[in-house]
Amino acid sequence: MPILAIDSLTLTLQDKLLVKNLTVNINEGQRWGLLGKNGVGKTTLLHSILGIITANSGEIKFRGKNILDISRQELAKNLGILFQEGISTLPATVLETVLLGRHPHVQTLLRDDPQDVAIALDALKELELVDLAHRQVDSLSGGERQRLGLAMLFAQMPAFFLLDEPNNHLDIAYQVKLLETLNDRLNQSTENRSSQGSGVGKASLLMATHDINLASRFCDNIILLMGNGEWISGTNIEILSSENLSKSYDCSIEMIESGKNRWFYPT
Amino acid sequence: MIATRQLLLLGLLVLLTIASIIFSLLSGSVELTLGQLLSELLQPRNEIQSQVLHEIRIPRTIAAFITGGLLALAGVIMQVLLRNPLADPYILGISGGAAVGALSAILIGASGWWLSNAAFAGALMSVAIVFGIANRFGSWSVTRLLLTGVVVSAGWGAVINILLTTSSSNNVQSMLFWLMGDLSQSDVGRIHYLLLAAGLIGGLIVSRSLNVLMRGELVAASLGVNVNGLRIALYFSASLLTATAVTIAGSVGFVGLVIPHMLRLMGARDHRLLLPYSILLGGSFLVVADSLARTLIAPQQLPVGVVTAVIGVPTFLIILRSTISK
Repeated sequence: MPILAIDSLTLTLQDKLLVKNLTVNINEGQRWGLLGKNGVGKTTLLHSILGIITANSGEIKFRGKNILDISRQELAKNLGILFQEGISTLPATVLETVLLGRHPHVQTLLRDDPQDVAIALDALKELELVDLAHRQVDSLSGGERQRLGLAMLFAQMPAFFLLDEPNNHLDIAYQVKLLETLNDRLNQSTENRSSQGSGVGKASLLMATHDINLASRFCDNIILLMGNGEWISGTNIEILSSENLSKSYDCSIEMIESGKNRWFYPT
Repeated sequence: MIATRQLLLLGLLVLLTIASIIFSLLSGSVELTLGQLLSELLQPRNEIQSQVLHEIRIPRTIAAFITGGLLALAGVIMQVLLRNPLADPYILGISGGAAVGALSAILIGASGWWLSNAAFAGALMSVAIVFGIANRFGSWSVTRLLLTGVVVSAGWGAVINILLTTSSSNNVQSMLFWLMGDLSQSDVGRIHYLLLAAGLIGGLIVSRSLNVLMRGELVAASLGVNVNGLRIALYFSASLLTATAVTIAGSVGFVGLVIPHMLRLMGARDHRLLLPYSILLGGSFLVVADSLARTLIAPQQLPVGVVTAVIGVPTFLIILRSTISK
């Protein structure tokens, strides 16, 4: 059974057709990229998977169950999102912010469970933010804040990661680092985390990005939104071609191959 | 670390509460020393002093504390609900509705029980109207709730002005006292303690969700909060707390707006702390304000709402300035 099954999903936003009859099955451990030009509906699709936007028709199933029949808390234990806007800059320390990621799992009423704090600190370590744990969030740089958003998501420990432009505000070194960190996190298998109750098996990921090369390097499968409700999906190799991309982005895009990697650039 | 700082703040607030209550019990036309106060409390001897203490000052002090606590708690909840720092318990028109109820009662010569219930009924009517209109179009948007509340509030303001301008000067005096907030007619009973306790306990149960909701509805939903359900619960509980406070003491201004901000500026941003701290600071603030209201120009009394503003504005500005310069 796929971990996430999108079945004949149709989404419109203020009468604009975004996707029509989208059907995609995402299996455990897979990394999917979601590409398409600005305003084509990537963010709306991610939000609909989270159930915070209702689709016009079709359904989305998480582990075989319609997400609209799953309680918000149960869903949040399993699906986590990194929002495109990043985290807000309300006065709070870095550690307090990461701890919010534990919200769906929290068992204690008032005091912070030491185990939750430990998980939050681990997430900060993974994102190299642990030295800033007691800093105020509004004193962080854009890149640090973006990593903090990711640390919050790591602390949430979802089985399915939804990322909306994860490399926003990140310099090239941190973009690479981000991929490695995500890689490590997705490869951590059940034995570490099944005890947390966030399910069994490897985590999966769906990442909306406008960086084609990032998706090409990191994702094994791609959903490419073409506009006007059209879409294509399949493996990285099938979908990412200069023909498909040129059509999707309405701009001539060429490809060069170097070793195992393929690079795309506009001409 | 953070925890010690928060404990220090809690200690200060408890001390402030005790000090404010003692100050209030010692204030008034019948002179009492601290020693006399203690011995009267433990073992009533002096007839007049005992009577003044038990029949006037203690009930009034309790009324002030409960009202301040209710308003500060409602203020915190409204600020989370509307995600707007300018939100106060009255922003959605509850005090306006209550005022129209109370002023109409004064107009027809009612007082005491009738006045309180007219105010409470007016408040509930306003709560229902605002909710009905804001909720009419299906989904609940904070902006629509805020706009509806502000507009309904303005409508009540017009009705209040009509009542004020058409009433006899005798009635206008009582109406103005009610509008500015006044504890001299207050009657507080077990139901009020229970409501404040229930508000605090309910608030603490959802306090973590409030922390998350402060981050915005999308973030809260993605972290497992049932945003619509929580908002409706917040709206009605803040409304009930406010309606009760207004029924006890009229529209005492400033407490619900400024007490939560003062505490946030002092570092209590986590709602697990902010909710109980607000009750302590809001309660003791109103106790002090009311003590001054009834002694400053004795034998005349000032409306307590005037005093809350006179103490509150400079205190708030000082705290704001000292935290910004850090």
